Amino acid sequence: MRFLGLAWWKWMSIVLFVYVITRGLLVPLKPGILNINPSRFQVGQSVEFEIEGYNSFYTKATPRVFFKISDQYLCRADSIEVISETKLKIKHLFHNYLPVNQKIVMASVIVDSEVDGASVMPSKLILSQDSIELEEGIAAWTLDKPAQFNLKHKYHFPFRNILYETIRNTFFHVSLWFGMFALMFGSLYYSYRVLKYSKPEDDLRAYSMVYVAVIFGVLGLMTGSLWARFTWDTWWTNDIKLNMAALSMLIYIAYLILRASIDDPDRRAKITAAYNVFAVVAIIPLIFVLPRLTDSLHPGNGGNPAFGSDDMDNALRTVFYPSVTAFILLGFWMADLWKRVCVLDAQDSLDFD
Amino acid sequence: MKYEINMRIILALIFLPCSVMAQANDFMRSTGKMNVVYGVILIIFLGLTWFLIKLDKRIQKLEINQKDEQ
Amino acid sequence: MRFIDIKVLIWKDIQREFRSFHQLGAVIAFLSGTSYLVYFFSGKETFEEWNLLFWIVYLFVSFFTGYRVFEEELVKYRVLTYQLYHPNVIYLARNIYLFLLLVLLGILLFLIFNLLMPISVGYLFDWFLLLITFNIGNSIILSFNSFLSSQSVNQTLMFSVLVLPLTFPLFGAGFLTSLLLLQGGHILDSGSQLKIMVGINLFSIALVSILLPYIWKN
Repeated sequence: MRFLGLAWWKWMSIVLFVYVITRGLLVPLKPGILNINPSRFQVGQSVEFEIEGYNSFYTKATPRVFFKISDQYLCRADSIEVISETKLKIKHLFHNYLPVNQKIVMASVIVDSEVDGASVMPSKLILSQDSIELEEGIAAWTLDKPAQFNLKHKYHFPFRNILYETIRNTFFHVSLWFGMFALMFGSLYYSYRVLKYSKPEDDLRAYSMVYVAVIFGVLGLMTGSLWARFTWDTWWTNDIKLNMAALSMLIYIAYLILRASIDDPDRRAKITAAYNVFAVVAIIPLIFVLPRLTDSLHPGNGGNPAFGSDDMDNALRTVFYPSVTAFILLGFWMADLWKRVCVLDAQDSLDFD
Repeated sequence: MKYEINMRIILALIFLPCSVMAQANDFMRSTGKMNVVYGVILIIFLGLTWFLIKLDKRIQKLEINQKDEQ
Repeated sequence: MRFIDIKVLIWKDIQREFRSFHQLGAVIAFLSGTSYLVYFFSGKETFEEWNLLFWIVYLFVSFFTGYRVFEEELVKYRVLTYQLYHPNVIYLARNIYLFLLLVLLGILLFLIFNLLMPISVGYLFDWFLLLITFNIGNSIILSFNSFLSSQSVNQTLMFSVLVLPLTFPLFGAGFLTSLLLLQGGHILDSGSQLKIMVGINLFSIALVSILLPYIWKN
């Protein structure tokens, strides 16, 4: 089916890209807490500190601030002064005793407002006490009536600490890898067809899919590297997923070099197809299995399912799935163009002879 | 010393609008690390451009061959 | 496919190896030379260092042995033998021969390393088992890629480019398992990577047996 002379799936990739870029860049992040300064306190004295919010509207509705220890003990901040849209000044007197059996404890901060909804900064405050008095601490850290937090129903991407706005990279970096995997399986299929039916066109298809997969893979490594630099503070980590990605790149580069070193087209098709099938089928299980056995910085490892409810929420999903589709279709489009040029080239050199 | 002072002024000018983040002490980390996303998009765009250039070159070669035959 | 054929062919391979011993001799010289170099330059070894050096030397040794498996096949050997024996039989014989050779070289390297740099190596039988499991997959990958690269122009270079990413996981698993052995563990302990090696072995056996008939077809 064609529309204005272009296959429908190519149009679809264009439309999806427009959707992904506009929606993925324009939807704001959920309001969150960027920083709390200072954050180390001795209990039993009046303290003062500042909370910095992100994307928040503190002047529209003065928020309530809570401190939380180990899931159940809450206490409300004494006085809140709104300095600007994104800045709060808190004055609070922490009670003499904490509701725990330790000298030092980490407390989370919850800022809750009608406009922004509730946002949490986990384990940021470090509170220390000199002596332990569990009963009194629990009494002081229990609210009279349960706190009702405001939910925000507006369409937002989730706010994650350290990641912040780079959560949008899921639509570009992660989808790039999905596109690469799709191309990889495509080339595997056509390599299998080369072995079975030995048609020269299938060989060119497999080759051009590998070519585009290498481009996608290199771009994936570069974008991932940039993202890692500003998230984990390093260009390259010894993460199992990175090593496996580098490994699959090496395989495909070997495939391209092997292609260049055989002259006879028929034999080249057979040999490279055999290598492609062997390499991909032997290595792919490792790429999918090994990261799940060992710990990794990436989601979906150490026994967790990839893209479970912790990593993705519904707002992200509405952009992520279209972006994966868009990148897969773009990859196949690029491979299609490359293959058509290769076919013309082959015909051309035949005519020339 | 002079250089250092100038740099401070420039940095202050850049980061004045982005007082959002306390740890925003460089360009990429300002405004909630949004520039990292732009960087990623730029890299992808450059990669696709590189592919276009390669494609263009191959088609050019074909065109030249075709002209020679005629 | 008869077993007697395979036995005859392996025997032929061994005879051929001994008739032109200089190639295997070069590998053994390389093996002992690098071991001595390692001994010469590294003073006091921890077992991590020992392990790393052992596997690096072994990587090179298996590459040097592996690329010669299908060397002169193309030109002369093919015409003579392919009529007598089925290609699959020749391939299998070559693969088994490479496997035996790699295990022998591995044991030799292990002995030389222990001679020069004595270290408590743990259970010897587990080492033997490790070398066997490792070399099943290793020899299959090496001989298959040696066959592929023998069709290309620059065989030696091509071979190492093709093989390196494929043997990477296998060498990683072998490395981690032998580290476990050096710490006094058993090969069947939960921390060993034996199951990954066995998985790779099974996968590569299945793949080679599926792919080979297609390549012979023309």
